[in-house]
Amino acid sequence: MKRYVLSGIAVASIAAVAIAWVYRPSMIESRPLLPMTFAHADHRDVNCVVCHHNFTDDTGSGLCIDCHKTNVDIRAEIEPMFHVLCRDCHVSKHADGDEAGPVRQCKDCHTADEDP
Amino acid sequence: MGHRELFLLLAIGLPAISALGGAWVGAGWIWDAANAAGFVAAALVAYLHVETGAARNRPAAHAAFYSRLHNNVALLALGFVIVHVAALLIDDPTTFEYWKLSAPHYMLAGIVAIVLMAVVTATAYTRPRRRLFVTPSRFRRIHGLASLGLTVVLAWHVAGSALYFDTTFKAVLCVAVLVVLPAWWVRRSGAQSRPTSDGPPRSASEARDETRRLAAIGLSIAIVFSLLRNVPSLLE
Repeated sequence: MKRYVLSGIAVASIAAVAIAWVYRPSMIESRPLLPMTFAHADHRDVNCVVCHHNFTDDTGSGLCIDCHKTNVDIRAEIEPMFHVLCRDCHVSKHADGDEAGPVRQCKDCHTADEDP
Repeated sequence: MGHRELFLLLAIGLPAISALGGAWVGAGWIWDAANAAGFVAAALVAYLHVETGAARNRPAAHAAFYSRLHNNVALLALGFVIVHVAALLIDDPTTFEYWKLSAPHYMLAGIVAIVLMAVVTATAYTRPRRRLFVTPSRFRRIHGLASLGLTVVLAWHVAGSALYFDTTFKAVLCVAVLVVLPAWWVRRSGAQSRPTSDGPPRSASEARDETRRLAAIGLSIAIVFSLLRNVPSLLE
């Protein structure tokens, strides 16, 4: 009996992980994007192609989400890709003693656009 | 080095590693204190590998003390995890996104760690333990393995989120502090013979006082970390 309980817990855990593994990509694709404040005016000293890499590397056209949200090869990485791009730049500017944008708190960036 | 000193080393070590290079940036009083509470919880989990509840590694007069202390520290770690999660959700409700299946893998690792922590703690109580495990040795083996798995998942969450450990060097050091250091300590202790005497007998009630001291140390570390992170930006 005891052995069956432990085995049942182990099997249920493995099943839960497997289900999560299968459904996670589609959940990432279907999840609505969070509201986002990005002030272009505050980023005039950043070369456009740092973010808009598709201007020069022929990886697509249109909005960021056209690829980052729908391309099956990269959609699972949308969160770390954008966070690393923004956060690391802000942190390094802080380290240099320059004025920089938010570095960690989600709500500092994920608010409705006010200054496009 | 005593066990309390080892906990201090673990709990201060994680915030200290985050200060190695890069910018020292405050992200808000509650945000930083909440994350420091998470560091303390992780340090307590690592510490539990050292401060085991197993009576066979203790002088007979101290077995009850260490058994109760292990139990109390596990609950304390769960308490710090609850503070970590609740404070972040209240301070920044956007973090609720990290509770969805679409969250990044390192945040899912955090959820798995909480579930594992609760299960490992709950099944160690006498009644569920006797119902679930055929023999004490089987309990010890599975409890130990699950705890080891919990520590690895926890390290994945802390290092993977890269909020404070934003370079490979820091991430590697973080994993070393959380996993390698306790593993080395346990191995080192295991090589020694079982102690027969270690001072006057200690009662189970003394474990409560020791747990309070550890809680005070943990809270102090969380508050000091938040102060150190955020005061400089106020002075600029």
